[in-house]
This record gives sequence, C-alpha cells and structure tokens, in this order.
Amino acid sequence: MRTLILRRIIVSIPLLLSVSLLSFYILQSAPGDPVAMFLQQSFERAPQHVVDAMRERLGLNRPIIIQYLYWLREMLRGNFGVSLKTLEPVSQVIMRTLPASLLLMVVSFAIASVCGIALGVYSALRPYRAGDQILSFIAFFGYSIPNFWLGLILIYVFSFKMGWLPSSGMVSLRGAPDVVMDRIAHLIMPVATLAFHDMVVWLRYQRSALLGVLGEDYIRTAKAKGLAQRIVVAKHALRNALIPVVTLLGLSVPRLLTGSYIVEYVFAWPGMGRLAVDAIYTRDYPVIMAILMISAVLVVLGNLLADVGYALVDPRINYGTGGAR
Amino acid sequence: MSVDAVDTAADSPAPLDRPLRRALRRYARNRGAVVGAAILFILSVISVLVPWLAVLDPEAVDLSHQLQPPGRDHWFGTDHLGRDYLARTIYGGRISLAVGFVAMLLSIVIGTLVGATSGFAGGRLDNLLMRVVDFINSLPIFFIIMVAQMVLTPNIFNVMWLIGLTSWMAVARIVRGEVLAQREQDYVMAAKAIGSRSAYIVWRHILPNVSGPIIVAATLNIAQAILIESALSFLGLGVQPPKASWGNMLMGAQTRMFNAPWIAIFPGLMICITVISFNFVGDGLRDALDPKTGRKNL
Repeated sequence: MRTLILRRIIVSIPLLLSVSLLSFYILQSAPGDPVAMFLQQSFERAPQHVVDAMRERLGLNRPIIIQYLYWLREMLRGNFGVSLKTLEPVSQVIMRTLPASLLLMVVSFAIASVCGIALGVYSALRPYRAGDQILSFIAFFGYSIPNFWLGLILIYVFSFKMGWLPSSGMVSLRGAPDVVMDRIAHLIMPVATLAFHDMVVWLRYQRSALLGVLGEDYIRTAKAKGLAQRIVVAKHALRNALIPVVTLLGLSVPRLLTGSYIVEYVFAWPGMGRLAVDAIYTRDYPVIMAILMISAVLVVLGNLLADVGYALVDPRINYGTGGAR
Repeated sequence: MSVDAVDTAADSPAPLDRPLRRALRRYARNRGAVVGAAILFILSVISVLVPWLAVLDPEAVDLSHQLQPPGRDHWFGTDHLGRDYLARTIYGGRISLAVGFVAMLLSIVIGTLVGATSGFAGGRLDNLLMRVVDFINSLPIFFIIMVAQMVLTPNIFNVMWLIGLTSWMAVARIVRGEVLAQREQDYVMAAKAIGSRSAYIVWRHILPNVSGPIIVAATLNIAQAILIESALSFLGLGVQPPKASWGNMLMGAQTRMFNAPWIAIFPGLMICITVISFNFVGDGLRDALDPKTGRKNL
C-alpha cells in the first residue's frame, strides 16, 4: 500500500510541474501588461522610466524561465505572490474564501451522496418499475438542466416571488437575530442547486453498481440458502456495490475545496469558485495561477485517494505491489 | 424475445438488413428516445432553414419596445434592447447547436484516433497515450477553458475548439477498450494473414465494429458541449453579443428576470429540452446498438 502511494506521488510530480510551466507560460503571453494596468490606478499615463523601474523591481525584465523558477521557489514556500487587484497576498485571499467553499460543498456533498445512494439502492431493487422509471427520468433531467439556470429559477421563485430565502451571499448584511439560522437560510438554494445535479450522478452510479452485483452467482446462492432479501442486500450485495462508489468519492474531493464556479457566481457565494471567476474578469494573474495549481494538486490527491480507497475496500485489487497492504 | 423472432420471420428481410432493422425496432421501443429524436429533428430543421423561412432579425434593436412581455407581436417578448426574443432564441439555438456539433466532431475525431492507435499499437505507445489522457483528465478543465478564453479574446470558434479539445478523453478510452477487444478476434488475424496494413485493418475492419459506442459517445458529447457552451457564455466568456446563444441570452437575466421573467425562461428551457433530448437519444442508441444492454431492457 505504501509503495502504491509513494509511486503515485512520484509520478504526479512531473505532471504538476508541467501543468505549472504550461499555465505560467500561457499567462505570461496573455495580452495586456500587468505593470501598466497596475500603474493606471495612480497615473493617467505612467512615464516610461516609472514603468521600467517597476519592471526592474518586480523582475519582469528577466527571461521567462528565470521568472518561472522564482515563482516556483516562492510557491513551494507557500508564497503565491500578491493579488493585482487588492495587493493582498494571494494565499491570504485564498484562505479567506476557502472556508466558504468548504461549507457549501461539504453540505451539498453530504446531502447529494446520502440521498443519491439511498435512491440508487431503491431503484436497483425494483428495476424498471414505476419508482425506478420516475427516478431515471429525474436523473435525465438532473443531467440536462444547466445549474446556473436552476439557480436563477430558484432565486426567482423563492427570493423574489415568495420572499422566503435570501438570494445571494453568505450572511445578511443587516445582521440577523440568529446567526446559525441565517447561515442555513443562505445555504439552502445554492446547496439545492449543487446537490440536485450531484445526487443524480450518485443515483445512477449506485443503481448500476448494485444492479450489476445483484446479477452475480453468489447473490443467487445467498438467496438459495434461504436468507431474507434484506440480509442478502445489506450484507452481501451492498458491500460490493459500494466499491465503485468509493471511486466517485475520491474524485469529488477537489471540488469540495475549490467550490463551484457557476453556482457561487449565481448566488454571490464568497468562495473560491467565485474568486476564480472574478480573477478572470480582472485578469488577476497571480490569483489565477494559484487557483490552477491548487486545483491540479487537489485533483491528483483525489485520484490517489480514489485508488487507495479502491484498494482498501476491495481485497481483489492489488496494484502490482504483491498484495502488500 | 419471442415477439422479435416472429417479427423477423414474418417480413423476412434481406440478411444484411437485419442488424439495422433490429436496432431500429429496439430504438423505436424506447419512447423517450423517439420523442427526443423528433424534437432534435424539428430543432435542426428550424435552425437550418430559419434564414429563408421568416423575416425574423435577431439583432434588430427597437428601443421603443424594450422588455415587452410575450404577446401577439413578439411571441417570446423582447429583451432590454427591444430585440425580438423568439428570433434570438431561434438564432441562439443555431449557434448553440453548431457549437455542440463542431465540438463533438472534433472530440470524436481526436478520441477515435488516439483510442484506435492506443488500442491497436499497444505496448509503449499505448502507455504513453493513456498517460496523456490521464494528464488531461487531471486538469481543472472548465477553469482552463475560462482562462484560455480570457487570454484569447472570447469568440465562437475558440469556444468550439476549446470544448472539442478538452472532451475527447472519454471517447479515446471507450475506443481503446473496444479495439483491444476486437484486436484478438479471428477476422483481424485473417486480415493480418493476407497482408493488410494495420491502419487499413483498423479503418476498414475494426472501426465499423466499434461504431456503436462511438455514435453513443458522440450524442452524449453534443449534450455536454451545449451545457459547457451555455455556462461559458452565461459568464460572458463564450459566444459574444450581439450574436445570440442560449447561454449569453441568460447573461443579463440575473438582474432583468425580476421584471421580465421570460428573459430567463425561454433560453434556459430550450437548453434543457435540447440537452435532455440528446441524452434520451444517446440512451436509446445505446440500447439499440449494443445487444448486451438491450436485452436487459426487455
């Protein structure tokens, strides 16, 4: 097991390096001069010697590969540079938005996975009956509805028409008597938007996994022994059917932290997803770079987690490590 | 199954026709898939013919009729510049469908090439190509498309190739798996034995046998591409106004929908209907073209 993890980590290092080099290069060649843009804030038209001095001081006149190595060194020390928009350290900006994303994503993840798995089991146990048919239509719908549109519709109905829920943000600006209730009220619609789509994915995944397992011989044997359906499903089938679901769990990890670009944008949720969209609008390159790197690292970690989880729950799997666990 | 047998015996078609007919019959049994295909057919016809059909101008500004609700003059109402919303919805659909279609073509071509090469060549090349697929899969793709659009100044062609270039990996995996399975079949051995070249074998013998999964993937890829395009355009990083796309029509909806809900309703509804139709068609095709999953559905 340890060798597996170690090997995967070693393999992912060149991968992450190439992601960083590539994105660094692309962002460097983007049109627009950040120095000029920055100086615009204080000068109408900055004198050339000021621009040059600034470039010199920031090291922007050096070869791009040197710039990259500097950036890499600083990044490994946890320094992502300074946001061009607010002049705050990028790591500070990210740490400020991360908890909001985490809150939103963990809540919707929990709801989506629990409901999705339960409904998937229900569907698989009564395949092609009315309940399953309805659920599979809902699943198609969930796959097909753009989540920003679902968000807009929810805002229209529940904030504008009914006036029940706040349409944006995470806290009421005017203050609320009960902080927890206020937070929950702000969470409901973004969570519903996110969880609806994810729940449907979980549902389909769990349904097909369990259906596959229920067709196996050992299930028939268990039934033939005279075990109750309940026990066959809970003890024999579900355990195996949860294996592929573990993969989905690992693959969901990156999104838990980076949030959702679109849903956070629609609901003005102050998380990392919204930060990413804002950074693109304002061409805040250091922030973009940091988010790219963080997402890439998280995806690698998520894949690793999925593989490890896979190996842990399924003893049949070994990744060429001689079955060592 | 018995109904099937009676049917085929009754109208005994030419032997070559049989797989196609059977697939068609299986497809016709899936109600969602038939309805989806009909909807897509109508949408495509309207999209192709609209420049000749009607005197609708999606970009004609009429400031004296801003944000009119749906009525006799404007069936879908008008937007904040007084443009006819029905015309914009139809022309927006043309663009969204075109983006979905071109992106799908690109992803299918790349995915098939990579998958077929990988599966047929095997060995080191296979390993390398699959590493590349893993690599691209581990990128935060939607964010990268957004960044690329920012760097490249967003326009419709960039949307097409960016989506196409980032959505071929699943196709490559599917094709590779199918080619791997076919490679060991006797007919491939036979072709090799008579001296056919690898590329010819893949193109002539193997690909026709894996066309089913490719067609299904193509259908689902269009649906996915339309969703990505709409999200990008909604954020202002896709198709740019004054050109309409279903996504960018929703761009201003966040503030305007409170006075003019139809601004939000029509384009979103069209995206839903179109994408769900493609998904239904893909589902029907999967059952129709793959004998294994088809049987389960009976």
